Amino acid sequence: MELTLWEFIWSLILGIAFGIALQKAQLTKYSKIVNVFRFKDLSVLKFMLTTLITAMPLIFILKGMGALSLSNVNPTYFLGNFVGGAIFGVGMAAAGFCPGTVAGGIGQGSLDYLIPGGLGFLTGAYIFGQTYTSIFTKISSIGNIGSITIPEWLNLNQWLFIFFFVQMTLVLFYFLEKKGIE
Amino acid sequence: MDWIIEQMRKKTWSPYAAGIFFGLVNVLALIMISKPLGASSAFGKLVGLGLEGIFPKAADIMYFKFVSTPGVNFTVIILLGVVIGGFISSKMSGDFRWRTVTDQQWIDMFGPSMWKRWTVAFLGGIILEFAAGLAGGCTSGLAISGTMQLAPSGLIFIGGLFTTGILTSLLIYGKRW
Repeated sequence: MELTLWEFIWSLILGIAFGIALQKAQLTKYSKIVNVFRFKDLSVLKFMLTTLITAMPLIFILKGMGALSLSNVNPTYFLGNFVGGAIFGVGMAAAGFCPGTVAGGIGQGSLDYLIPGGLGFLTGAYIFGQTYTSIFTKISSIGNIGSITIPEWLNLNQWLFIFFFVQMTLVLFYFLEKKGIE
Repeated sequence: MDWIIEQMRKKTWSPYAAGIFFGLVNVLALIMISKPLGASSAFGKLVGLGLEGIFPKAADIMYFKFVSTPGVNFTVIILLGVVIGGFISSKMSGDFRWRTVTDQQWIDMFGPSMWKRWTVAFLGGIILEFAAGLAGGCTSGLAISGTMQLAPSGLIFIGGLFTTGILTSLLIYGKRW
């Protein structure tokens, strides 16, 4: 075990809450995931954006108060982030799950998520490990600007950026609900 | 408490309600374990652990020695928690069922064949986990955890994901898109 008892307990609680959120939003279902790409049901998009506009302002307010520090900001390397995302989209639209929702789906009794899905993820992780030096280290060095935030990178006011992000999302939600788009 | 049980018995929460809840969970993760949530890296830890036990030679590569050392860390516990959370949620709402083929929409499109679904699930898993490694995270660990911390990579990933997601579904569904 590479973690303390405290970390173990909290990781478990956070994971359980994570699984409940995914299952209650029905993102553990094939159709919910695939239909966002067909513009038939935008639940995935609504869920992701609501999560973002809830967490983003809170995180930066707490950071401003010194209650938390951001030490794990995901590194940016343009080509790899985009190509990785593009390959990911193919898998997500075909299979109808992603790494988190596959776990939540196992919990609801989906055997296609547990057996072939789980084995697929383990195989994929092995292939990634095997090709790490030949593919990942090369692609992640292209356009690598490291662990910085958008406001730091573009020299924008952080609060203004967050404000616009939240506001634009709320405007989008307003129109989606007004037009009755699920 | 009654209110919580009432909510847990519901089969579906609105994506807005579930999103607010998940947003708070993501913030709590940064406060309590000083790490953003994610799901994809746990599979690397687990496959390394399995290989170490069965084929130690296969685990004897740079990646498992230095980058993702085999073992149980917080990401593995989180992933285990997600399975338990999915179980609690579906059990309480009556949505729990052993399913071999995912849902009605799949059956309408591709038929009831279990092997067809299982083949796509297996290949999809490979593609998704490899891609998440390359991108530096998945829908949770990069699209959400990255973007909420204002990392450019989160939005770049979302852009790539939706571009090919839309194209792939168009290709698969054709006239029925």
